[in-house]
Amino acid sequence: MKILLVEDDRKISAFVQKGLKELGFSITACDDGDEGYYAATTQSFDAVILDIMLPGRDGLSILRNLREQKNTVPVILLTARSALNERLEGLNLGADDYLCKPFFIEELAARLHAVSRRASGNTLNLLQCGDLLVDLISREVKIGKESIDLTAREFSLLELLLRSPDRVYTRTQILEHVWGYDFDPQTNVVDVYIRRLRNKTKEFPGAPVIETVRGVGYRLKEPVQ
Amino acid sequence: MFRLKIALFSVLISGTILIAFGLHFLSVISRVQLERLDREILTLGESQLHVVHPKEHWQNFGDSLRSIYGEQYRDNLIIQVRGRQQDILYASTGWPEEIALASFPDFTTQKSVEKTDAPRPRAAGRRPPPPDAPPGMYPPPRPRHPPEPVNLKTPRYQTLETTSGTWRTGIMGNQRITILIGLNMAGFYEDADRYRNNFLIAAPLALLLMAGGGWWLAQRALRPVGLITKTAEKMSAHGLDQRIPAAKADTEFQRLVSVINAMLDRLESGFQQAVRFSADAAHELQTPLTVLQGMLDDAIRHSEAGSAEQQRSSDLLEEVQRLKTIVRKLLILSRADAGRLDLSLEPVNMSSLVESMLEDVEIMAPQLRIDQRIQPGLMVNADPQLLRQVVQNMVSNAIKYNLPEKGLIAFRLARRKGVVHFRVANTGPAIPPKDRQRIFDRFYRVDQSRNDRVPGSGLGLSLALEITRAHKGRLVLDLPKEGLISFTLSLPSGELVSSTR
Repeated sequence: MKILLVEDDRKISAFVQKGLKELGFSITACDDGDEGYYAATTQSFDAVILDIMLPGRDGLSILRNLREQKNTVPVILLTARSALNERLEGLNLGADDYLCKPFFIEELAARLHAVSRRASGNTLNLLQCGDLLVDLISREVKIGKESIDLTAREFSLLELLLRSPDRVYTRTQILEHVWGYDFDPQTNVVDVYIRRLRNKTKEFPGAPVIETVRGVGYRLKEPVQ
Repeated sequence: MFRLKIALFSVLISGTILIAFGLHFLSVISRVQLERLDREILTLGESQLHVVHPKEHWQNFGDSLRSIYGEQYRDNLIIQVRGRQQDILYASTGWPEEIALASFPDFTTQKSVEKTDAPRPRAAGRRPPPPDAPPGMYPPPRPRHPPEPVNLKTPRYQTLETTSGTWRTGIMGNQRITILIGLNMAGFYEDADRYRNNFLIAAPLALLLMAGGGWWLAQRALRPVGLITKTAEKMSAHGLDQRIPAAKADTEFQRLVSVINAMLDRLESGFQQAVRFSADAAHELQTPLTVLQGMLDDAIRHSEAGSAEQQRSSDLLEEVQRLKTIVRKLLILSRADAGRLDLSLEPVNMSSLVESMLEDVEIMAPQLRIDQRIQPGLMVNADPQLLRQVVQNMVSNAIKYNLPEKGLIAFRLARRKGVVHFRVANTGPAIPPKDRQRIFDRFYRVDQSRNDRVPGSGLGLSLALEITRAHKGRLVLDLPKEGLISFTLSLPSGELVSSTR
């Protein structure tokens, strides 16, 4: 998937490029608004990531100009403020999504997938790992032909791990993604849910395994065939 | 209150003056009236004393009186004339017996004194002897003609009560006759009553006017104060950008208003600076935090699973998360201070929100006994993320500050009179009274030594309070009951969800 990243902070730009490349995206990066606008109008991308505060043309102007030219490329806005009016303005101008700094690469990747799916009309909402098949729309979870009942929390937890197999998540990251909490390290709640999830999948040899990474967190491992 | 005081005060002052003046006026009026009666008596009496009347005059005196004063004079005027030997020369019919010479003791005395020295003043008064004539040369001359009433004795007046009414009586006389005249005082009293009645009607009316005027004046005078108060009230609700309109006020108040406005200007600019500083600081922190978090995340992904390097990165990431949380809270607080805490309001099912959190409580604190009573289907209009923050803060406090064992945590969610109340109560060390007020302060934490064990930034409650306020709700620390610490969150109720959903 071809992505245009317009971000003036070099370090942020660097880790976003690196992270997205590892997740299979192909990135073109600009650190200036005018340059970014030029790239967006001259080349075709599957999605554009726009920082709002930019030297030259700011993110919202780029977005406005693109939409005035009937350019419907999916746009995700990056903002350091979560000010509602800025968000609303962005969405009114035709942004497809926004993301507040600081964010995790997985979050950005998930949003990119979502907006490009929406744009292409692609209804592929299935995540798979080994025999495990998760339908994000119907929220059905199957291992082989067996259906598994998961609570809402368990489902979100599984979805997070499933999006990036092999990727290690710390407990606080999981807590933030799944619960949206910032409970001061009350992380045992994650451990309990991981245990529940393991209990529900352990009898299936074809299911992926949730592995404990000692001193760090958890990750999903593809089943050893 | 002030208005009432002013009105009462003006009534008191003006009332005192009015009553004093009125009483004085009435007494002056009655004195003047009395003097008028006395003058009338004197005029009538003198007219008779000035002339020496033959005896027949007195026999027809009644007729002449009638011709002067009219047929009805008898009711108003009585006259008694006595001769040298106190013999009655004339007396009006129906002369009241109560009026006699004895009623005028000092006149009688004077008269007797006059008698002894009678010749001297008469001689002296009539024709003084020539200064060059030797004394005793001429015998005192006899009066040639009707003697003039030179020896008019000082008239005396008195008010006397009789069975036939009250009379103003006067007595006067010369060496020949004594005249007693009485004027009926019925008319006088009528006048006095009329004056008094008029005063009794006019005075309360005047006082009422005074009170009204005082009230009105006070109200007018207080209008700028009301304006200042109103502005101050608005100020606490809508930030410091309110100013008191100075145009309408009087000069004295204009000065006050401009001084207050100038003070508000300084206050606002100082406050704005502080707000901008914390907003800028929080904002500036976002970028390095993003970089830090991104790089640590990258390091975790690329180091060998479970390696020391990965563990170190994970620990660092944990701290970054904590920093991120604090920065986010500060940002929300600074926005709330600036009055710009934007809420994206939507109907939130408060019951489900609380229930989902209870599910986690069981896991996070399995040692606690949970007592819950949650009314289902209660909706509020709220920013879901921020509301979650409040509820989460209440719940996590109740877990953190609970007893190490045999602890209890109780939840109540109910709707009363259009308000949704969420109460979280827990066992635990009581909050000292001195801390009750400060518990919502930023970075304030009860009992420093204890808090070494309990993680947290000390921002949670102040943040929860600000969010609640922005939602037009209330968050209070309840009075301790049965050894429980309890907080209640009250929010205006949204539409109810039908239970058959």
